[in-house]
Parts: sequence; C-alpha cells; structure tokens
Amino acid sequence: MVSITIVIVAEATRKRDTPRSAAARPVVSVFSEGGDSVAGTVQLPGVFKAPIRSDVVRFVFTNMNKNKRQAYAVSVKAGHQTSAESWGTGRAVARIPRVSGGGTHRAGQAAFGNMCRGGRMFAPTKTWRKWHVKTNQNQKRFATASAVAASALPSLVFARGHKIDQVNEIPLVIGNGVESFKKTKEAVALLKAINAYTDVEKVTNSKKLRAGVGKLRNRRHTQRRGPLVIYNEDKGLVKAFRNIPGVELASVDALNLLQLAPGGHVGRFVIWTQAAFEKLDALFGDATKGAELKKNYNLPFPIISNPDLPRLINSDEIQAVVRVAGSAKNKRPFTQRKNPLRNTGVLVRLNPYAQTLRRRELLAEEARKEGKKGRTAKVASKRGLNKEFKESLLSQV
Amino acid sequence: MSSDLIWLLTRDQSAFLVKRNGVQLSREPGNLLNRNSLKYSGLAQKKTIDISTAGTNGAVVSVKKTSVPASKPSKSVSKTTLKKSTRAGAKSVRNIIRTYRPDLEKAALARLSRVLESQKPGKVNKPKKLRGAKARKATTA
Repeated sequence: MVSITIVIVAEATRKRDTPRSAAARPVVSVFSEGGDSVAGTVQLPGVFKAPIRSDVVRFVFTNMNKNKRQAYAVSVKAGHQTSAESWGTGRAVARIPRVSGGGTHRAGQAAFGNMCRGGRMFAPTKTWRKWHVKTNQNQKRFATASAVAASALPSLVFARGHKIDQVNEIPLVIGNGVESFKKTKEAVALLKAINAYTDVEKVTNSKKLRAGVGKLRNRRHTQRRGPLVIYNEDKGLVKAFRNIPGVELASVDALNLLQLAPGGHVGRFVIWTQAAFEKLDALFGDATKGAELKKNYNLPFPIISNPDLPRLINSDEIQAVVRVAGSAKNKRPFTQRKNPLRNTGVLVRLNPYAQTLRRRELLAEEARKEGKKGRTAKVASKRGLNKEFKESLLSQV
Repeated sequence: MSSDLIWLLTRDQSAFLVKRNGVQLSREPGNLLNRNSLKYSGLAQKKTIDISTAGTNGAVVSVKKTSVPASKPSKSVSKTTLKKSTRAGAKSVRNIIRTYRPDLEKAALARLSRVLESQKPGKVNKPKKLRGAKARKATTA
C-alpha cells in the first residue's frame, strides 16, 4: 500500500526520525461536556503518527474475527446408522452398499455415499476444526495503532461512511465530565451539541431485517455502526450511552480492533474522553520513547516520514538530481491522422502524380460529357426536321 | 495528510463506491464526474469543488478551504448558492475555479450545466390524436 511511495525516499529517511520536539506536535481541542465550547487543548498522542497499513489491519481483523466462533458439526453417526452391504457385481445395479432386508421401502436402497438419499455428507464437518486463530501480539498492536491513527483522518472516516461533515474537529475529544454521565438523555444532548447525532440517525434509518436464516438465530436486524466512545474510567457513561443505536463503548485500556476497524475497514468515528486521549501516550508511547504500560513496546514508525508525493518530487533534493525535462515529443504532429484515400490534400502530399491523374480524369470526363451533349443535340435537331417534314406533308393533304 | 496515501487507502474501499453495469463510480461530495480517480476524488484531494442542486432553483457550490486544516470538517467547506442564469452562474463558477483548480474547469462547468438543466420543467407531450374506433367513439359521445 505505501510501497510505491517508498521507492523515492533516500536511505537517510529510513533511520528513526530525529526526535520531534513536543512543541511541534499539533494540539487538539477539548470540548466541554455540554459540547458547546472549547474547554482546552491536548497534544496529539504519538500513536496518531503510526503508519496506516490497511493490509495489516485487514489481516489481523480476519484472524481476530474468527475467535468468537463456536464449534458446530453434523452428528458423527449421521448416514451410518444402517447395516448396508454392497450386493457386489452381477445384479445389474451399482456396487454401492445397499440396505438389507425386505418388507420396507428402505430395503435395497443405496446407503452411506454422499450421493445417496439418507447417506452421510461429503467430508462431514468435525467439531475439531481449527476455529480460532492466534495472531502475533505485535501485529495486533500494529493494527490497533494503525486503526487509531486512521480514525484521526476525516477523509478516511468519511470513506467508512460516518456522517461527520458538521463535526467541529477530528479527533473529537470531550472533557472528563462526560465519564460521569448517568442518563442517556444527557448523552443524546451531548451528541447533538457536537453534531455527532447525524451519525446516530444514519444508524437508526439503516435498521433492516437481516437477509437469510440469521434472523432465527438472535441476529434479527442489521444496522450500520455509529460512533465509538472511548473512555478511561466508567463513572456511569457506559450505561448512559449504550442504548443509543449504533453507539459502542470501549475502555482505552482494552482497545479492540474489531471496534476500531469494523469489517477490517479503518476510519471509525471515535469520540474520546480527555483522560482516555491523554492515556494514549502511556499506552503506545511515541516517536521518541516506548510505551510505559506495555513491556518493551515501541510504536511502528512510517518507513517514509513524508508521504506527500508531489512535495517529495518537487523538493530541492530530488529536483537537484533529476535530469532536465526535454522538449515535449509529439508523437502525432498533426492533430489527426488523415486517410489519403479520402483526403486529396494528404494524397497529393504522398503522391504528387495523383494530382495530374485526377486532373486528367476530370478533363476526360468533361470531354465525354461534351461529346454526349453534341450527340444529343444532333439527334434532337434531326427529330425537329422530321417533325417539320411530317407537318408539311400533312398540310398538303 | 498526504493525498496520495488517502487515495491508496480509499481507492478500493470506500462507502461511496458504486460498481454496476461494468462501470466504477464514486459518489462522494466534491467529485465532479463521480469517477473513481485521484484527479476527481473528493476524499483524497486537498482542493475540491462540489456542485449540487439547490432545490428547484440554482446550484450550491462548495469549495474545500485550504486555509482551514482538514481536521475541522465543519469549518473547512465554504458554500455559495448561485441563483443566477446559466451564463452568469457559469461565469462565477469559472471565476472560482480558474485560480483554485484550473484542471477541473471543464468538468465543473459541465456539472453546473447538468444541474441547472435538471431543474427546468420537463417537456410536456401533446395529447395523442385519437384514431379509428376510439376517435369515432369520442365524437359521438
């Protein structure tokens, strides 16, 4: 994914970035619990600079998504509860095992085979299928960091389908008071104040009956995903938010890729509480230091520090070593290729004699026409004479 | 953020992609031709212009501001409503786009013209002249 941009980077940029000074880091506004005013600012945690690798996220997601499965299988005995034996050759029927005995329709019917009515299935499913997949911890952490970083880019949040065009800022951080919300009414008021409620409305409008048999298995409806609220300490906010359609909650200590990148698609709309947001540096570390709360963990860093391709191409360093652009080569100097068989001008350019030929042809035709005209005039004059003669003859009678 | 990176992340996977009848389209705001390409992308490009209908009369032109960081979605788009004749509207769109994204001029004007055309009342067909038995029936009744 990022690979095409890598090619251009000089080897020097592969080294770990020179420590960015803390002052250079962008700040993010913290909105008040009422959602109407900016209560302060926090520095953007280092995890938001992690590389966004959709391939890693997708890989980890598909693995992790399998870990909630429960075993299922057909009965081991299915299709084998009969004493069928093959009749062998010579009875003008297939050699498949057949149910013995008589007095019932079942007698003489084929059994066991996957092609038989009442037979077992082909390769019967087993409960000891490999249902769960282990994923490397570092990969899981990479994917989570990627998904968190992607949640701060409005374009990616848009592309995931969240309605955030009226939201004041992404990433969206709310003051700590929201963690002690007790009532859903307060929670809805906040979502409306920060213009995040359109995303909830999208969820409500999207609720549809599930296609297929999942309807009968406690998965009756399908709906889109709404915002994900990430908190540090639950002082009532889980109960306040959890009944709002599409809204999900997660503790910052237990970030889950399945929630941060549903379907393996990065760009979940995340609403952070200030404490949760501030804890991210301790959880993931940043470009200069490792994570405090994880043992021996350093954030992955982008192979390319500046992924802005036009900026790289137009940089002095690159421009200094590239060859000067030559004059544009025009493959087709004339705007359009003309067909010399139809276009006389092009034909004459290719074959100057064509003009003489054509002129002769025209002259010849003219001459032919003239000749013809002469002949017709002669015939007409003769006809006129005939008429005169006839009239004079009749007048004498 | 780099538009190349955003393009790589959204070109294959986006809520706006539409693929049917063998064509790949993208219907995000800011995509003048609704084509899934970096040039026309409303998600990846830093400068986009969106032209949509303003109800029954006129067009809304939304332009992504370069002065406001993209992290502020509510403030980063400036909207103007053009309630003008087609010619005057085209002129103001041209004035906006000439310095902003000159490569999109043709597409923007084409979209504006289609938007305004869609607001014109449709052609009303004349009632069909009756023939034969139906005509006879109509005259006697």
